[in-house]
Amino acid sequence: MLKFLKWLSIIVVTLIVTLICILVFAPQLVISERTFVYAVKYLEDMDIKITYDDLKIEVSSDDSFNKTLNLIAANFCVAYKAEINTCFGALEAQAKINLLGRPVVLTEVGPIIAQDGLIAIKQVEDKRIEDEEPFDWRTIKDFIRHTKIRPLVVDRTTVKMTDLAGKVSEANFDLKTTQLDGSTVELMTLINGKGSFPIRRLALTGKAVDRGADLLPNVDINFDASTPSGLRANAVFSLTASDDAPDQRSTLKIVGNLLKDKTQLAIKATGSASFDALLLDLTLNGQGLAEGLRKATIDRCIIDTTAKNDYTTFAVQIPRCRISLVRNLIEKETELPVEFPKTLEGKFTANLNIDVGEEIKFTNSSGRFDLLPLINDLYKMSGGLDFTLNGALGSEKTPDLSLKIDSIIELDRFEKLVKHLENSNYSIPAPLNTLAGKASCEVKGVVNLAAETISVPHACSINFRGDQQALVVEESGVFRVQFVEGGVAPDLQSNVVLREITMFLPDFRVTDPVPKMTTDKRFIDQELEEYVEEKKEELASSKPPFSYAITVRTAEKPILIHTPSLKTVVPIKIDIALASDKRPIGAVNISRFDVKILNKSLIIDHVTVNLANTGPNTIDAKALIERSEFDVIVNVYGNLEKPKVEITSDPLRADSDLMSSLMYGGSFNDLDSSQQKSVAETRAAMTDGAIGLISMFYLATTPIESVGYNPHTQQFRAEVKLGTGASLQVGSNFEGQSELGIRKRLRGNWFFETYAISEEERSGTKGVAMLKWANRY
Amino acid sequence: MLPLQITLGAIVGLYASPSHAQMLMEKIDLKPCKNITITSLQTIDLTKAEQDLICGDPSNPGWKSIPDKQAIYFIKIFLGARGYWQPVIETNGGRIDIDTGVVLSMKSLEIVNSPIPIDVESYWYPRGKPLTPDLLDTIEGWVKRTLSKNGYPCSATTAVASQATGDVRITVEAGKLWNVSSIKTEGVPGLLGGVERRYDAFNIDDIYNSEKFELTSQRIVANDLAVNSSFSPMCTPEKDHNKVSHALTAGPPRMLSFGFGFDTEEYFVAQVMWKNGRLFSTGSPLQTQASVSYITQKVGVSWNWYYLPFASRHYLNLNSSASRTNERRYEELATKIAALPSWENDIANVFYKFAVGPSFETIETKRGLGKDRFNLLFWESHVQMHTHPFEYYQSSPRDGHAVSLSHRAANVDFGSNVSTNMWNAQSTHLWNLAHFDPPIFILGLRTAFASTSAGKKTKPEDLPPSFRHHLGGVENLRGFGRNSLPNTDEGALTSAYAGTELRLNNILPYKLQPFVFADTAMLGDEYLMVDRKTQYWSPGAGMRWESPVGSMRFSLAHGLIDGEKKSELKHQQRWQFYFSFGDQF
Repeated sequence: MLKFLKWLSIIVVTLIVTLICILVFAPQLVISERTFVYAVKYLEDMDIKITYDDLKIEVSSDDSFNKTLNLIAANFCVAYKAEINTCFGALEAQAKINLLGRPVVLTEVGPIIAQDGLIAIKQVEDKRIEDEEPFDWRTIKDFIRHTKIRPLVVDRTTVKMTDLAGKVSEANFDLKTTQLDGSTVELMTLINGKGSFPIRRLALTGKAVDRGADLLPNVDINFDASTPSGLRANAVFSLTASDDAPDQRSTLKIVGNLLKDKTQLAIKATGSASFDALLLDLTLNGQGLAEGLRKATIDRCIIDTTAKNDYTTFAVQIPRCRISLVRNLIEKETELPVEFPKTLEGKFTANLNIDVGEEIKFTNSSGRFDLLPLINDLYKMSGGLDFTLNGALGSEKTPDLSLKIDSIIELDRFEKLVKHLENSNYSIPAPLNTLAGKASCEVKGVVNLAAETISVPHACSINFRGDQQALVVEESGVFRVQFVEGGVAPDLQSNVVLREITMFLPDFRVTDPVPKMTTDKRFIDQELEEYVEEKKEELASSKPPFSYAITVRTAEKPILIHTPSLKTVVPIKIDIALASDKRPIGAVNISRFDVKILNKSLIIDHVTVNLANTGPNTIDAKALIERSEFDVIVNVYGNLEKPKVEITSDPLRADSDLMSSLMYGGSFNDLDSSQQKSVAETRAAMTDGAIGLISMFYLATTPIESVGYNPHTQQFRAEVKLGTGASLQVGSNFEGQSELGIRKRLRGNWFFETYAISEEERSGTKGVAMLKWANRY
Repeated sequence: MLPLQITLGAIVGLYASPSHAQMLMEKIDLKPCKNITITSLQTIDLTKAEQDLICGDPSNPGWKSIPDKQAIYFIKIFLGARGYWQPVIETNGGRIDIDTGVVLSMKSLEIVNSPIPIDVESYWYPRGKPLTPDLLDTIEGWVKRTLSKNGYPCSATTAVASQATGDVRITVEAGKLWNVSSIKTEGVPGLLGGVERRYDAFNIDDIYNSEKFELTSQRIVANDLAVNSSFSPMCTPEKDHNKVSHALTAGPPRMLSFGFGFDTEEYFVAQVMWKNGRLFSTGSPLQTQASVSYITQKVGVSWNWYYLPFASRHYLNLNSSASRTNERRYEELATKIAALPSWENDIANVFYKFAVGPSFETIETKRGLGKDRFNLLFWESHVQMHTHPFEYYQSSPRDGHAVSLSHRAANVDFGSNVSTNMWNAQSTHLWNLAHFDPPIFILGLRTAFASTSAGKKTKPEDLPPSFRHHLGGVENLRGFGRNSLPNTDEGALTSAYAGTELRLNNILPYKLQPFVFADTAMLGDEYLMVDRKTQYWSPGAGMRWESPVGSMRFSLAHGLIDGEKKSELKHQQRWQFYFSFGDQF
């Protein structure tokens, strides 16, 4: 066994030595047209297909380990899948390799002369195979690391591109590098696109002077390109050796412009560069870069970059950078009475560590942006943010970018704002316009931009007070932006605490109808057809909703609403939750208060409105009316839109008597027929839930002239007798049923009555008008 | 029909549309506060509350100062409530000048998504009227009411009105078609369950019609079963659909009254009445009444006795009375007692009543023709029919038909001392021409035929004076004096009358309704025969006023006689003025 292994080792070593000897002394025996055929077959497994009509490969030795390869081919084609197919009618190429590299390295390419070429590129849908290994470019990088490019000529070549729809466009492509002398290479590239080819014109000219392996070359490049879509870019790049510079750094200058429609970006950078360091003084001026942003400037931004670890790690320091953003005016902004800042200016500093190995990765990177304070007569605004950045770009996991924000906008004197807006279209309405005080909004906290949801915490407070009125409110919450498929979903979470609210209602006397204070939505200021079309469009365009979840609650002190007409204060406590995707839920509770109108006293014991997520909103209310003989208790309950009204008394009385007592101050039997009808119709309306709370309030507190109720249209109307002799109508007009006769109560049991009588034995009718005393019992 | 509608549209437009009149008027300035001027063609009366919201209320800490913008906002709302939708507002150095412009009138009405055809062309009422929120409420109410009359009682409407054009669109959500399945009621306390159903103008399984429910309520109240009755469709919950709730307010059953006043025939009248609307468990109404006037003194009792031990529409009408009548032509004392089994029913859209039975009457003639004393045992038959619209709109007649026929027969062989057959037939027909809603032109036709025979062993002159027929007066020939035809005490044995009237409704202000009419009649001295050789005519015009205390009518007509007796009765041809109240047609 040992003997066999010994001989096998000798044979293997002999073969390896023989192969090396062949490569060194007779490489043409290994690299030839025949072996090229094997290489082509190997490449086919990688979806690369090479074809040719005539091929000749010659290998010559420069020395023992440096070999020169010459390839001459006709109709030489290289195809990658169905996507790229490159063919040249005539191809002559030369390359030099060094066999001592580990592995073998390409030391020189060129000259290459490729003529009568056609480069066909076909766009295909991206069908990446899940387990497909990406090509490892590092193997190529090692192979070409020290490669020198010798003259290269691509001539009389056409690039043909087929898009996904099968549309073909083409361009002429010429490339030429010329070795002017031993160290200077000149490059000229020109692409002239036709039709819908993505590049209309690209011209790249340049010159590079090789200054040896340890120094950066001097480079001057001019670039000018345009696309059919109107994008135009040009740049001048120069890297010049500077003997005065420390560490023999080269001076770097970049001037470039990017133009498209109204978008302009100008870049200007000066600095110095060496193999392992780059110091830039960068100025960027952009216009029309984004909607709403008129101008963006990065001014005199110092970027100091140092390469480490074989150019895979860079330390970037930005000790100074001024950023200025100028926004566009929003529509009709000039008409606004308050001037909002148009320019935001700030300072930016950063310290970044970037690893550009397999992927671009930030480690221990941080920075700060300070907003220059904005102060004017009405408000002041200041703020800043610190950020930290860790993680890789382009990887599945988003880099960890967190911002620590601390900014505030303050309104020191609300009364100043009131005064400022007084005669404008944006005036603060009554009763808020009598308040004075301060308000502020603060955004403070840490925002992690890497998270699926970005949360911006904020807190606002209002502390306004005025003549017997107060508005003290605190709000805190988070504004969130969620990244969802197809866009972002903004979301507001907010908690509002009403610390103290005391407000006055207008003085609506009971002698006047209550005026409507809101516009009647049924009336539109356009033609019906236009309105209908607009409504259809509104329904059709489903804009992404702005979602919110807001809780509003009173603190210990209830909201106090002063009602001068009732000479009372209504205490209200609320605890409700509002959400964009749900109905409001919670409760509004009015505590006990007394009312006295036109000599009628009423005690509202409580009113609780429960807002339910499902089912109807409900009300539970109780009112007491004290009478000399008994107390009337009114319970309102059930569906808020159609509440049921139940009337009881202490001691207990008949329903009809209670209602008549409430409405007319007497027992049902003492009423005339029209009053009895009013009482009965009111009861019917109550049963149907057709009486609104306001109407109910009037019924309970004011002398009633008459009530009409149509159960078929559920319209309810009450005429309230006023002290001035006038009457006030509450509820809606409706076409009531007229009565056959008229019966008007004059006083006590006395009535005036008109009616018609007909008798079967006689023809026609006769009318009767009588002054009558009547009593039902 | 179209030309008529166009003409009417022009009339309505002239009256209702204020724009033309406004153009001719001078503008009026209103200064609710120092810095605000409202200029308008019509006076704008702002309430105190509105003024406070515009100008501020110095006594109210929250509302002492109103910013201009807010004041303008409120002014626009208040003007909109008055129909001014396009005010021109100018602000200048703290001054606000508002020109209200003209009142926007409603131009057109469109109803969308209605399951039934709704004739908006005939609904002229809102057209040309100031387009205000109240008017929109009225229109929505009308649409709901129309749907409710046609099987959709739980409809919802959404109104949109263009401030630019005055066009209105009502979108209907009608819900399901209702067939009445049951009536849910607690009834009247103390009465048999279902007693109240005897007044139903509807039947179970009928398509819901709100008017029929309202008519039923009218009957219940008119018959004193309850002081109020109200039907409500049970719109929620859905399981209760097709069910109707019926609420009754019973009130005390008994009423005592006395009073004095006037009536259109007897002038001064005094009256005492006691009634019980719900006697016994079947709710049988009993009424006793005594009345005194210069012409008639009468005491009587009437009882509709629902004697069956279950709820029914059959009853026995028992009535008796004693009266003294002192007419120009005669004076008589009469007593009467009657027992008339009666049946009532509603079939489809018509109410029927049939009563038949005996009555006994004694008449003593103190003055006038005929025997001194009569004992009359009558067999009476009465048939009455009318359509539901006729009954429903009885207070403001506009539509429907009513027919009645009664016959009374007495015979000397059956307890009477004269033999006679008395026929009395009447009909009333009303048409709402062009079906305007509310009606504009109402055409009425009224007919009456009465005849008395002098039967077995009876001469015509033996008959009591009250059995004879005279015409003239507000009830028939309005161009002649009351009962002035024929101008003899004998009167006529037969009378026939027909009258037509065309009334203009809802156009003039103050509920004034002018009308023109023509009455014609004939008389006859024979049983069931009229003298065609002499005709009596009464063309005339008048005014009906639905006053707050009841309807009043004023008429002026000229009596005309045509035929043989023209020259003989020439002196009766003259202008005749009548005033009456309570009369509907």
